[in-house]
Amino acid sequence: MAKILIGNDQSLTVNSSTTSIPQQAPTSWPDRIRAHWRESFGYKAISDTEIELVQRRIYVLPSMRGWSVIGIAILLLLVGINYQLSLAYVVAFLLGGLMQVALHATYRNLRGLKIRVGKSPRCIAGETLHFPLTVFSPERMREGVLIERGVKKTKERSKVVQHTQRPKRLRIGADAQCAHTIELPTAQRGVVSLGRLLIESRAPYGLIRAWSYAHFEWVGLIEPIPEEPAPALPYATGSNAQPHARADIAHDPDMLREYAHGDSLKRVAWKQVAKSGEWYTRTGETGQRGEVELSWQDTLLTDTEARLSRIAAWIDRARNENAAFSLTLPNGHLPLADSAPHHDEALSMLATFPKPLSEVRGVRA
Amino acid sequence: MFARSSKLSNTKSLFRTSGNNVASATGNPDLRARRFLLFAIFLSQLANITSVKPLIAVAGIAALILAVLVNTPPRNFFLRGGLMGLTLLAGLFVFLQYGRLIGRESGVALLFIFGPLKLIEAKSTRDFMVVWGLGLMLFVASFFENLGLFAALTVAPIIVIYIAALRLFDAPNEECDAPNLWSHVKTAGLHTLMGIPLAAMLFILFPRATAPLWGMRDPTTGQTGLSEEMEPGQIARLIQNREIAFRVEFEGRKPPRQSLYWRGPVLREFDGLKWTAGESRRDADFISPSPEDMEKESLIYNVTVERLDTRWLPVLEVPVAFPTGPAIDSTRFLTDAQQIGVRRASNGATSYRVQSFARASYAGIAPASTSAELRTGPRIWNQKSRAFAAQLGAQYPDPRQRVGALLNYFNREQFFYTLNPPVYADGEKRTSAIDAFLFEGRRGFCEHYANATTFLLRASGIPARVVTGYQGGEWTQSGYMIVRQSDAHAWVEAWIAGQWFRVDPTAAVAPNRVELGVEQALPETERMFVNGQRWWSSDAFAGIWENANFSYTKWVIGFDRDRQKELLRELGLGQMNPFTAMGWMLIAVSISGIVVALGWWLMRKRNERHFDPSVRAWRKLRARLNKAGLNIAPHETVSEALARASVRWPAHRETFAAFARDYNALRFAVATRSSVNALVAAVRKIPFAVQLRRA
Repeated sequence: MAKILIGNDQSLTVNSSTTSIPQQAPTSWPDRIRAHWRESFGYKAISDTEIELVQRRIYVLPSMRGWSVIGIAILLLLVGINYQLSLAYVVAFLLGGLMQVALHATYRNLRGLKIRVGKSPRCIAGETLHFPLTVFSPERMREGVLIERGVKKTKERSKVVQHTQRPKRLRIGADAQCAHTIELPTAQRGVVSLGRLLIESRAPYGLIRAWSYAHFEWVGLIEPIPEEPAPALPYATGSNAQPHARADIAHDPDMLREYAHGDSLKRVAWKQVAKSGEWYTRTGETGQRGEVELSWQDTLLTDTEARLSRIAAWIDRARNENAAFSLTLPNGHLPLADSAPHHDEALSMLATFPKPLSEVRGVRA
Repeated sequence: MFARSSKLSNTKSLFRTSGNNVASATGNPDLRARRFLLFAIFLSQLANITSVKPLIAVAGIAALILAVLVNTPPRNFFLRGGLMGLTLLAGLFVFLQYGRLIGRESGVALLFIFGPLKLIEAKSTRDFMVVWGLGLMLFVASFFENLGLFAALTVAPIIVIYIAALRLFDAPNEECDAPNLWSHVKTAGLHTLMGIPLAAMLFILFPRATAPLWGMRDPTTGQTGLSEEMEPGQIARLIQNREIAFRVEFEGRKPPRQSLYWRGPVLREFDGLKWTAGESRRDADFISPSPEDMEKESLIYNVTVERLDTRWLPVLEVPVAFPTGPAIDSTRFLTDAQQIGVRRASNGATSYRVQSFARASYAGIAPASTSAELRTGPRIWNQKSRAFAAQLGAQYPDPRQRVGALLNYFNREQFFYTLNPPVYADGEKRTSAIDAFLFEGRRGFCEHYANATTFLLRASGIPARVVTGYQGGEWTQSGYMIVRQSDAHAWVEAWIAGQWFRVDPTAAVAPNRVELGVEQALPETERMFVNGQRWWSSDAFAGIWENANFSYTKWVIGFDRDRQKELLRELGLGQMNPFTAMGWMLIAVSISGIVVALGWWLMRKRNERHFDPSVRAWRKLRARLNKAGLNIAPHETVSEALARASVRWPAHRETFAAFARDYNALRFAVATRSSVNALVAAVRKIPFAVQLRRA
């Protein structure tokens, strides 16, 4: 969390993560090695959309179970030495051979795995963000691949493990791909970065833990909670508080045209879709449409979060009332429109406030 | 009362739910892992079933059945308490059976019962892991009793089962349908195979200890083999055991069968029925033959004993030097009865190299008149035999003649060599057992004859003692000799004219025993007792099995410091320390890996050669630019890619442009020699990826 001071002496907290500043490429040898390590341990976020797990970024160590098998093998070896039991040597050394094979098998479970990030997820504060990932498994089948947030072993992690079930381990066929989401509970409006991902596998025997890190520049947008009860839209006082008809839209309620990408789902003519199988959008206007200008000043509130909540409520209301709106905030301006992307963009601006959306790194569309 | 009935119904419901789960064992990964682990435990128990006491075996199997019935670990307080009580009860039971809890046998018994009991209450994979370890330990514990080739052959499948079980532990966490059990077992088998090279290397090169690390071994009980005492019927029982006692490889001369008397425990003390070892000095000297005799008579041979049953090493009569072998070098000693003993016997196979004379007599210190070799017990024992001995003594004052007369007596009179003699000494008749044998039954096995002969010789004033061991052996096609437990024998040593002479009364009764072996010496109706257990001996399989068994015993069971040295020498590593050898081996493995990688690289280079020179140059350049971070897509043309490269590295714009021009000219216009060279030269002009990246 970072305290950010904004112009009118109000302080507000914004989830950090948006602070990664492009760094100068290091030139000296030690710096470069350090940079390499930072990257391969996932301390530095990368802007790529896809990462391939290569040998130098996969780490392997025996797991607890592996250590116990090593312990058993040593015990058997001691029994073999003491009682001169050759077969005890044989079993102990076979366990040693198994450890070696398990090491390779587990390493191969991760090697070559490709992970691609999806869109930046969005949600309302208090809900859970779902970061979509696609995992590709070239060449061979992978088992028991666990992808989760690579949080350090702190209280936060144990809390996460307690409250949400441990994520499922993936099993991906040869040359197949698999969709996966990383869940991230949220508390506060703002922008939160997913941070470092931990990719782990212990399959097939759980004796070896192979793991790797991936740190994408990737944030989720947390929109403010809309104010309850939703306030009325601040129609301009000049237009006698009534939404006025829009000239660009035909007034015939039964006008249909073919669905175009980006049309609001509210305007889809579902009956016709069900009948024909083709998608149609209603262009006719059943009621009168309003146009409204939403601005920071019109909220008539002082608290930043309250203002944002009110604007969020207005945006929702405008969507419900099919009103077109324009938005003016200290961190940007949106011209008059009423499409779904327009709504999303407006809400994104609320989430990233006080930064303009374009300045937030890691927003992936 | 009410509470009790509710508890009962609770138990019932537990069993009912578990009954339902049985049907869905394939659908429930946790239950499947539990069942499979139980199967592995069962195999471990099976391996030990003969080495634990019958009641322990019953208890262990009962615990196993309980574990089959209970599919979910009990959560109920009373049930858990009951399980705890059961565990304590099992511990108490083992204590009552063995008299202690700490020790090898009682430890095996505890593992035998606790393995399945622990599985009943196993809740997490960590608990499963504990059970897994217990089961594996139990399996290894079976090697205390069985080290044979068959036991060795079971190692691989059982390890595979255990490895597959390990795989099932994680199945509950896996998403979607798990493959079937058989595929797990197959993969586990494949992985075991892949682990064998490392395991073999470790086995061969891991330095072998020469002495145990801790503790003495427990006394061997319940094993069939020679013991340190002899009573009638004992060797007759042993004779039906076809187990291999030891194997011998002679270096050079092979002695005839009749002279093969393998000396074991020498028995002096007699209590009317049983012969025991008694006192012996442990600092005696070897006989000192003349150099000519040494040349003529000495036999050098290697003995591999499967399992030492007593402290005494079987050697041919009479040894002339201490045997050498890693397990015995520090603990061997020689008694005044010319027997070689070890202070601490190893549990596994022991092998040593000895030098002996195949002689029937050796010089020694005269036994005193009060020595054990003259004692015959109270005068009221065996009075008829005493009278017969006195008569012999009067008739043949010369001890040598007296012995001859006695053997003649056995030969002449109606004595029978049989496995099923009557019982001569039960209860009251203990003090007249020899009388009963000599004058009533006249049917006996070698221990009866040795027993009676020793008594008669002593009674007539000749110091004598019983020697037990093995006589004869069986030559194999591979040229070594197998001595089995069924070759066990007992004979007599008598002190005549300053020397201990071997006297074998059995040979007088049944000469075939010594010349052809016990089977031929026995009446035909009894032969089946001896050879009945090798009904397949005529098969070709028997020979293969025996050869495999010999190699296995020599190279796996008996793989000790000496064998290791021998192998290293054969590999040309000479006197190298095993650790050094292991280091070299690791280096060799690494180098071979590098060689394989190099070969792979060269092959790729060769494949490159199939390309047109201009394409080759482009591939080289493309790889370099990709490495520098340009990410050239497959669909991009050379010109497009190089245009992008020019933007990124303006310093090399000229070179890139020249390359693209030359390349296109070469590929799509008429080729000339000079333009290919120009292309190659252009690639050379472009710095390496590292330098590009830095730019």
